[in-house]
Amino acid sequence: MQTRNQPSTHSSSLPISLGWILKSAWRDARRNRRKLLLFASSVVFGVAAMVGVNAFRINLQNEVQSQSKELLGADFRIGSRSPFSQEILQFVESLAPSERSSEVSFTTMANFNEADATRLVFVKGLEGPFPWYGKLETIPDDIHPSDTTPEPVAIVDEGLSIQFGLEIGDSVKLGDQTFTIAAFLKKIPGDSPMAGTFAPRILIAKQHVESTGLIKLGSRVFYAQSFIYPNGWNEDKQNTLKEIKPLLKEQRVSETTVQERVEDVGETMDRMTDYLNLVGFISLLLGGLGISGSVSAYLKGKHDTVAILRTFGSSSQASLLIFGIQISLVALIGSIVGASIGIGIQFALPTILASFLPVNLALSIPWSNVIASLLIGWAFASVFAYIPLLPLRRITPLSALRSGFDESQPAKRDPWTWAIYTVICLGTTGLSIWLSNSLLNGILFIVGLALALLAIGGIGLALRTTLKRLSTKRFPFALRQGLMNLYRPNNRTQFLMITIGMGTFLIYTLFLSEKGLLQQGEIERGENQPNVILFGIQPDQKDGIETLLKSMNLEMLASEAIVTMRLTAINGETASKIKSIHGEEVERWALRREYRSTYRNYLREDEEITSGTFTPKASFDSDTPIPISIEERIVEALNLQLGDILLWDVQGLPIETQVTSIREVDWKQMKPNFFVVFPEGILEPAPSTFVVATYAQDTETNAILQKQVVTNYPNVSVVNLDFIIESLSKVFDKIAFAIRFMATFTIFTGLIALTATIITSRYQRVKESVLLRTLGCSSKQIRAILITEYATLGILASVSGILLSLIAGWALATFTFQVDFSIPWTDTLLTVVAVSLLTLVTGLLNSLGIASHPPLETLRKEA
Amino acid sequence: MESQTAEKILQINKLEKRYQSGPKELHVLKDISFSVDAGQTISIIGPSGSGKTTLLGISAGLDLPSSGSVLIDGIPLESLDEDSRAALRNQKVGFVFQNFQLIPTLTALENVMAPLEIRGESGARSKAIELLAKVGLKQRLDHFPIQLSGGEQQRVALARAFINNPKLLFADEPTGNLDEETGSSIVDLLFNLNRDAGTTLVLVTHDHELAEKTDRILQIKSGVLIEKIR
Repeated sequence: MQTRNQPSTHSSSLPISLGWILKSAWRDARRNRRKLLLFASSVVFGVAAMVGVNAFRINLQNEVQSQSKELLGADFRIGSRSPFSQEILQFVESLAPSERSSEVSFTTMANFNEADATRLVFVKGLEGPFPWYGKLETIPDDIHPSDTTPEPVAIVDEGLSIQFGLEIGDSVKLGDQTFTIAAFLKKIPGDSPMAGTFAPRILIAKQHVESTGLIKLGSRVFYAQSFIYPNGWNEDKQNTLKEIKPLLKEQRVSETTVQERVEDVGETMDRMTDYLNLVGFISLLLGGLGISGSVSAYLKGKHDTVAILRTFGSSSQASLLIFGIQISLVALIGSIVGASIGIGIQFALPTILASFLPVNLALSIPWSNVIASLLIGWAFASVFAYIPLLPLRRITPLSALRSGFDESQPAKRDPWTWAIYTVICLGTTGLSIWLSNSLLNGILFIVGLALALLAIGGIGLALRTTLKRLSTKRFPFALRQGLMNLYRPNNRTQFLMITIGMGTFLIYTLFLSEKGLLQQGEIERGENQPNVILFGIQPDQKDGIETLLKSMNLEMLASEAIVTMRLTAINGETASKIKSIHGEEVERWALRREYRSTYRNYLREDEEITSGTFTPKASFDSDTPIPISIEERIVEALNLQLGDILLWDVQGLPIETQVTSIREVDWKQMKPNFFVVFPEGILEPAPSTFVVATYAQDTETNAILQKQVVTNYPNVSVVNLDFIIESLSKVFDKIAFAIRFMATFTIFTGLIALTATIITSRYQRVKESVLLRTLGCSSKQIRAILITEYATLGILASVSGILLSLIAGWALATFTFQVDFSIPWTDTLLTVVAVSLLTLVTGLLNSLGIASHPPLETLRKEA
Repeated sequence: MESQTAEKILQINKLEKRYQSGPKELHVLKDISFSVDAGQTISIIGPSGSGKTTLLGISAGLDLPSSGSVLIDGIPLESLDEDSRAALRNQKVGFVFQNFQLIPTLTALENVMAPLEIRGESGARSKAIELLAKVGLKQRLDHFPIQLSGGEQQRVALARAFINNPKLLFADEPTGNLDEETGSSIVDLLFNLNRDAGTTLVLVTHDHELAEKTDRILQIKSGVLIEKIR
C-alpha cells in the first residue's frame, strides 16, 4: 500500500487484479440481467444449430464407416443393362470369390389377387446367399427368396402390405406366374433409403424370373452379380480392377466396391448436412449481428461508468476487460444453452431425415465435436461483441468531468478495430468453409454476404443523407421529429438497417432457396395432362391397347415408339474415348447412357425448336447422315452444335446421324419425353416397344384400366402418375420440413436480434421522450414520433433486404436449381409487411410506458 | 531545491490549452503558472466558460495541456502515459464532482471501495464502512445510487474521494447540484474530512462564499489566472 510517506516516483500503470475485474463484471451484471439475457439468447440458436447438425454429421459418418459393408452387402458388385459377356465373367472369376450371387431386376405390373389390385413394382430375382453383410430384414424374420422351396414365393415390400392389406399366404401375379407371399420386406442391404418409393420391391428367386415371361425384347432389365472373397477386397484386387476398367467401360458394366459406396453415400449425406449447416450458420451470423448491435447500445450507457473508473485509476485495458469478460461469459452461457438444445436437435434430426438415411443411426453424443462447436460459436459471438467493446478503451477520464465530452480517437484509426474486423472476416470465411465443406462454396457464401452487407449498409447511408437534405420544415411536428431521429447524433439507423435488412435478406433467401429446391420436383397437372402411362407395349400389342382405351372412352394423349440405342461416336471420335467436344469437357453420363429414342414426323405442342429445322421424314436412300433432333440438356452435356455427326449403335446396326435441330422440352409435363427424335422412315424396322399416355378421370377408371392391362397384356407396365406425384410430394414435404426446421432457428435468432437491438437502445429513446414530455409533448405525439421512426426503418430495411434476396433468389434459381424464377408477389409483400410490422410493434412495445407515465418516474426507473 | 519542491504538491508551469473548434482555434488557458503547498486549500473561481474546469481537468491529469507542465507530488504528468496517469490518480488524487458521478450499478459501499479495489488493496470494505459511517450513511451501505437523494449521493462521493488517502483532492462545484442546506452540510463535511486527513484541496466553484473558506483564491478570467489577494 502506498502511503503519503512513500517516495514520489511513478512510472507505470497499476497492476489490476483479475479478481477485481471479475468482481466488477459481476457487480455490473446484477443490474442488467435482462439485457444480458438477451445477448445470451442471440447466441443460443446459432450454436444450437451448429452443434446439432455437426453432432448429427459425425454420428452419421461414424455409422456409415462402421456399417460400410452393409451399404453394399458384399465385397464387390458389378451391374449392367445387358447380360454379362464371357470376358467379364472370366474376369470376376479370376478374382477367386469364395461366394457369389446374381440378380435380375426389372419394373413390371403386379396383380394382387386377394386385394383385387394392381400396382407397378420393381422385381428383383435373386440367386445365391446375398447379402453377406447385414441381412434382408423381413417379417417374419430370416426369409430369403433362394432358401425357399421350389414353389414360387415372393417377399413383398412392407408398404404394399399396408396399402392393400396383404397377408402372408396371399398371392401376387407377375406376368404369367403366380407367387405366394412368404414375407414382407423391410430393408435390403445396398438399396438406397428411398428405394421402393415409386415402385415397391418384390423379391423372388431368380429361377422363377423366366416363368413370368416378362423379359422380352426391348424390356428394361438390370443384371447384377455380387461377390465376397476369403480375405475381403484388398489392394491386389483393386489393382487388377484398375487394369480391367477400360473393358468394363467399353461394355458399359458398372462396378462398385465397399469403399466407393461409402464415398458415394458420404458425399450425398455431406451435401445434405452442408446445406443444413449453412442454414445454421446464418443463425450464427444473425446472432453475431444481434449481439454486436445490442452490446453496442448497452455499452453506450456504460460510458460514464468507464470514465469514472478511469478517474480512480482503472487502466483502459481493465475497463475493457470488465465488460469484455462480462459479455464473453454471457455469450458462454448462451453457447452452453445452445449446445444443450443442439444435442436435442441431433436426436430430432434422424427422425426428421429418417427417409433419407442409408444407415440405422445409433445416437451418441460426440462430446469433442460438441465442445468444439460450442467453443467456436462462443468465440464467434465474443469476437462480434468486441467491435463495440473496443471503443471503451478510448473513453477519457475527462468525460467524467464534462458530460458528453468525447475527444477520443476515431475508430477507423484504431489498429485494434481493424484487427477485430480482420479476425471476423477470416473467422467467418473459415467457419463458412468448414461448415459448407467446400472452399469455393464457403468463399462464395461469404462474398455474397459481404456484398449484401455493403448494399444494405449503402442503403442505410443513402437514407440518412437523403433525410438530412430533405426539407421537413412543412411536415407535421411528429413526422418531422420521427424522420429526424433517423439521422440525429447517436441514431441507431445504420445498425438497425443492417440487422433488420440482413435478417430479412437471409431468411427470405432461405425461403426462396427452399422454393427453388422444391420447384425442381414440381410437375404440371391438369385436365389435358396424362395421368396414366403404359409402357413396354410390344408392336403386336399396340392395336389391342388402342382398342381397350377406346372401349373405356379414354383419349390417347400420346403414343410413341421407343427404340433403345447407344452412342458410339461423335464427329468420328469413339464415344468411350471422348473427353471434350469443341474444346469443352463433356459429361460422361451422356456418352455412356442407353438412349431410348423415338421417331415421328411431327413436333409435339410441348416441344419447341430453339435452333435448326425439324426434319419430319428421311430414308437410307440418300447417302447423307440421317437428320435428328436433340434435346437441349444433351446438347449442353455433350457440348453439341448443329451439324455434328453422331454415330449410333441401334441394337447392332450402326446408324450415322447429323444434328439438324435442337429442341426444348417441358419436362414438367409428365409425357413420354425423348432426348433424341428420329424422322419417320428410319427406325421403323428396329426392335421397339411403345409407350402410350392417357388421362383417367377418376381412381376407379384408373383401377379398371390397370386391371385390364395386367390381365390382357402382363408385360405392359402401367404407371399411375397421380400416385407418383403423391409420392414425390411426400418426399419433398419431408425435405421441406427438414429445411424449415433449421430455418426456424434463423427466424428465432432474427427476432431475438431485433428485440435485443431495440431494447438496448430504449434508454436513449426514454431520455428523449422524457425531455419532449417535459417540454409539453402529448403522449399521442410521442407515439406518433416513435411510429414514424420505427415504421420508416422497418419498411426501408425490409424492402432492401427483400430486394437483395430476390436478386439472390434469381441467381440461385437460374444457376443452382436451374428452374424458372418468378417473383412470389404475395409472399414478398407479406414478408415486407410482416417485417415492418414486427419492427414497429417491437419498437412500440419497447417504448411502452414512456408516453403514459410521469417523466421523472420514467427516468428514475430507467436509470 | 528538492526540499522546496517536496512541499509543493501541485506545480503548474506556463500552461496553455487550445482547442480546435471547426476552422477556429479556441485559446482556453493562457500561460498559467501556480503552485500549491501540501495541506493547503485553494479555490479557483471564475464565470462560466472562463476555463476553470479545464484547468482542474489538466491539473488532475484527466487531460493534457497543449504546452507547459503539471507536476503532482513532483512527478511531471506529461512524461506519463494514460494508464500511468490513471495509476498516479489512484494513489495520490481524489475527486468530487458536481454531478456526483457514482457508478449506477454499484451499491454505495461498492462505490466507495472501488479505488482501493482497483489497486488490489486489502481492508477496502472495513475502511469504506468506516468512511460511510463518518458521512452518516452507515444505514445505506447496500443502496444503489438511484435509491439515494442528491445529498446522500454526494456524501458517498466524498467518502469515495477520501478512501485512498489522497495527497490532493480536486472538487468541481461540489455543491452545484444541491440545495443550499444540503450544500452547506456537504461543504462542512468536505472541509472536516480534508482537515482530518491533511489533504490538499483544490476547489473549483463560482460560489464566492464557498471560495472564502479556502486558504487561497485564484481567479480565472478568459483563460488568464489572477491571484486574488485578501
